[in-house]
Amino acid sequence: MGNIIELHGLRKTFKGKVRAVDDVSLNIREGEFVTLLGPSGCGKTTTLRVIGGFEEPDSGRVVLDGQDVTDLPPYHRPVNLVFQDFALFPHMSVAQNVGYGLRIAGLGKSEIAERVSASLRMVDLSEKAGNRPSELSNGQKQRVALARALIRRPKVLLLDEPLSALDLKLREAMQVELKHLHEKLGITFVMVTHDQTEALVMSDRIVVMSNGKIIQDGTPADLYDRPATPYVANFIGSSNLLAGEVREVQGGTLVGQVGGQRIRAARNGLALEVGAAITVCIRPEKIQLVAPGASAPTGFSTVSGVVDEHFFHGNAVRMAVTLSGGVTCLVDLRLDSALRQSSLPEAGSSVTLAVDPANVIVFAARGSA
Amino acid sequence: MRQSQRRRLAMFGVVSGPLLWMIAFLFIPYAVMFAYSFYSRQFPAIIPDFQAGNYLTLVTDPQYYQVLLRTLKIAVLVSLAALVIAYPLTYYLVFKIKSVRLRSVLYIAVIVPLWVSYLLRAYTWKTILGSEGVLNSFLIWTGIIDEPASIFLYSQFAMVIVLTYIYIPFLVMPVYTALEKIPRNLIEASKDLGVGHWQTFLKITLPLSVPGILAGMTFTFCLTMGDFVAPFLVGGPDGLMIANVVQVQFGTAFNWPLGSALSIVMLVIVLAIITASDRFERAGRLDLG
Repeated sequence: MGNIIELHGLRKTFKGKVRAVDDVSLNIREGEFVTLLGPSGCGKTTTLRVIGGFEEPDSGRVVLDGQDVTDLPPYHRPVNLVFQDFALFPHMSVAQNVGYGLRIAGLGKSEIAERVSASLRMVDLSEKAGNRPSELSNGQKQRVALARALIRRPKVLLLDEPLSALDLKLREAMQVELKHLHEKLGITFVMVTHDQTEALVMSDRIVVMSNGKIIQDGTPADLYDRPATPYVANFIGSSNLLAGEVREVQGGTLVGQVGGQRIRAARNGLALEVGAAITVCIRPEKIQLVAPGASAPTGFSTVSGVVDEHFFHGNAVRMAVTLSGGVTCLVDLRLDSALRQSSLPEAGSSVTLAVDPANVIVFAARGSA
Repeated sequence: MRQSQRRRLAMFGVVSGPLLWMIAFLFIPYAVMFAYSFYSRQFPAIIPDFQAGNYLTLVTDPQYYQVLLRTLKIAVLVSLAALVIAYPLTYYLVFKIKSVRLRSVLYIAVIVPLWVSYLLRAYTWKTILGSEGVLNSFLIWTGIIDEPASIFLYSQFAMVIVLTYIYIPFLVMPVYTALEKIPRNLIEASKDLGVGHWQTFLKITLPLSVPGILAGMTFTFCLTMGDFVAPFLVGGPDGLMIANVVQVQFGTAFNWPLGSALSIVMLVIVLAIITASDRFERAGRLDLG
């Protein structure tokens, strides 16, 4: 399938501020669910608003469905935006809100009525058609905003932090619902969020942004398992980021010295020489606890340390372990049928941890040669 | 004493001051005036009475009801003229001026004339509209007219101009507040849904600013209703307004009962306008959160 959106070298600087969007180029294929992810101020919302036509880029082009729309106002673009705080018209009923665009476009009354009721059925709000937005809950407002944005059958639906105004339970339900809606409609969704869980659950592809630039672009699994930088590793999921240096290079693997202990890692194609400074990233759930007396699985690196603290998460326990070099490392242990909390090593006791070299990600430390 | 009793007593203490003030300076005078409106006058005395003759005079004697109708007409004209000038100005201030500082400077520039004496501002218009005034001099200079026109000053036209000028800030203030309260993303949402600038204004911005328009027009209408300075300074022989007539009844004519009846009629009109506009505003009041 072709690209529905092409962004070419977008730049946008706000008056008297730093560059909000700095040379962003991105292709989005038809039917994809793409999420722009990053902390506030990273340029994700500005990028979305440029696609929608609400901000004019200083330079760069926006191509929608093969047509250069950079100079077109929002009302001439085949996209619709779901606003962060819904932006429902307070002086109109739910049905009037949803039918607003069609009404101004001059469609016939019966066609509008038909499409409005179909839209409201789609978001399961038929019985609220006559209500004012102020009489709805946030979750219902969200659905109205969705119905209103989708009724014009846009080629792309833009979503600006669509779930941020909802409480946790509702947010989780809406994540699934939005994903289903995307599958059902088959149109392209572009969402902006700062919530990495949301991005991982919903997206086909995640674009991580920081300081106006794209840092990494890949599937959720890509980003989680092969983060391109420590920034991405830290932003998506939790990570142990440990500073160290290269001790040995043997073919596809290298041995790093981290906090006084040796850890083997896959090389990841990095051309690192012995003595180079590195940052080692290990996901807490990829670390295993080696039972006293037992030996670690073959090929695994082992490190020893002392348990500091336990944090109980219900289905898992997070353990903070101080490695013998002095650095602290988080270890997540699933409390499944084989492991009970009472059988965990107590705070203060010595433990041996093991990790598969394939699960150790190595970055060249910034500033080193 | 029980706590609830004590609280009620404290409450009474807090409320009693303003309440007494209102009774002494508002309700009692109104009651006295209301009573006077039924008195009769047998020159040179005013005799306590209960008869509707004064009100009857107001509706049968053309010189009174015509003044009343003229006053209403001028109040409507002034409110509309002030709206037509103030709304675009305020819209421009709120939506087109991006610099916050410049916006507040311009806003204050609109409000600042309120600090200048009303009399002075009204008087200034004499020098603009008069036969030796700025307007005539300009028209003669451009050759549009040969000799000074006297139609500008001392006419209902002059009164509408002066009152409009004076009351524009009273419209700008509430309209400014109303426009500023409209979330910008509603306007963006409208454009996102395929609606252009002009339709967005008609369907979103204008309806959401109606409470401000109503409040502003109520101000200008009621203030014009009670004005007696503009007719005095720039109004012509046909420029008398209801407040001037009231003034005469209480002054030289020494007909307090008729003056009271006129005042009561004015009061009823103004209260009706305020109540109606309040109703509308309440009905249209929206959660813009």
